[in-house]
Amino acid sequence: MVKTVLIVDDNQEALLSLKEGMAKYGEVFEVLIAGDGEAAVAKLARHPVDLVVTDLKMPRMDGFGLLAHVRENFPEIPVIIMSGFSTPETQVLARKRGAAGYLDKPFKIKYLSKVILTLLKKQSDGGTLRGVTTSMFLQLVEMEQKTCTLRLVDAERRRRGVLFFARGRLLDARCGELRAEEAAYELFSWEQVAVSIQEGCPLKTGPIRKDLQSILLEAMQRKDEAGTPQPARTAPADDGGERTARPQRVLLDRVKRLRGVKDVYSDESWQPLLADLSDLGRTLGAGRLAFACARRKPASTVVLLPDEDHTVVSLEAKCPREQLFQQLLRLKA
Amino acid sequence: MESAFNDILDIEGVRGALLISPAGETVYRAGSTAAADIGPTRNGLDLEGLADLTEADLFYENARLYLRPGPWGYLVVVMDHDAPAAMVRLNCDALTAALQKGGKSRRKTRLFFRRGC
Repeated sequence: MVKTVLIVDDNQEALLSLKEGMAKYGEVFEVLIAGDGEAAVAKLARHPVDLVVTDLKMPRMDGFGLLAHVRENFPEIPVIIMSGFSTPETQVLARKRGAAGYLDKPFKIKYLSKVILTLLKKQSDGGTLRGVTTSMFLQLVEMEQKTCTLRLVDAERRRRGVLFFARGRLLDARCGELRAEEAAYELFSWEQVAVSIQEGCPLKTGPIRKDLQSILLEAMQRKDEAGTPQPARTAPADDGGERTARPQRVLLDRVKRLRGVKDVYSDESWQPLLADLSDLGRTLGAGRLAFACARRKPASTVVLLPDEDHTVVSLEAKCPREQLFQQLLRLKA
Repeated sequence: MESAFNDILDIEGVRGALLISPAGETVYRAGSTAAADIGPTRNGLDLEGLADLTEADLFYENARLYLRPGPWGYLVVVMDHDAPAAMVRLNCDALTAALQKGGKSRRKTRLFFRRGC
């Protein structure tokens, strides 16, 4: 997919000549132009941009103002500062504030193009995967505890988004105007995307607090609900509790995908135990049994779902049980 | 034993704990466990089927139960869904060890005691 570079300068002649000079790289990137920082902010809000090149001295909003805006709102976008009034102090200041490059005017267009190409290439220095199913790939990132910035492109629908991971933990996500979890729900529902992997993450912390599995599940649930009619409510169950008529198959499909689940099968032999456990909960005023995780000798751990199919979920030895329990609670809710 | 139970009750999210005899009678109760008493004659509760388990985490609509069977009966901890189960489990290890020995093990239970979580 062709990348987009936003060049910002109050000198219209310089802007047009840069745009014209870079037309020969059209297969790699296209150029958007803006006359000052504020115009650039407006363009950033409307267009997906991969890199910003900005002059330092401009009316309304200068280059440092724009740099701060990009660092705050689009941390994945590198910014190159260019200035005709450069001093060592401004260069140091630009670097300190997070500029990816600094150029003294005048410079040759060829030189700027080379810097742009280098930075764009860096955005996929960890490789690019095509036709990837997002959920599977992200679980690998978590498992490998990768620190990286992932750019997702759904070329067919012309959508793009970014995910920030630090040591396998999802810190933040961006997709259009969506941020954090809401952006992640959207991105995780995409299928067959191209993923560019950039080593490293510009963020140290982020707004996302939920673990990856929970977000993946929520994303799948939202996708299912968006694609299928809302389930009708059934009559109250025997124990007085009201249960939704969501197909059991959908629930089991989701359970199978949870981390640490070895197998899902039917086994009626657990039914008497489930009946005892249901009685215990009722006696203690705990309400209807949602599920039970039982361990028996020799070491085998199963989760029992009190459903008509007598569903048994066997767990791997190293299954993160507490995470699984919380996910099951969400699924059963 | 009372202080060992109190250590469990001090864990954030734990509502109460029960010790039920193999016959199904409540031997000890602490905190809020909703039911005043448990016994086969009173509630028709038969816990024998649970004896084969080493432990169980049970999730109900309104609470989570941690169940630990043993030769002394059944230890049941009533807690919130998101209570720190690992901490509960560790304190139950200490308590059940004391129950098996028929004595107290304050030192060990203190080791796992988390104050003001």
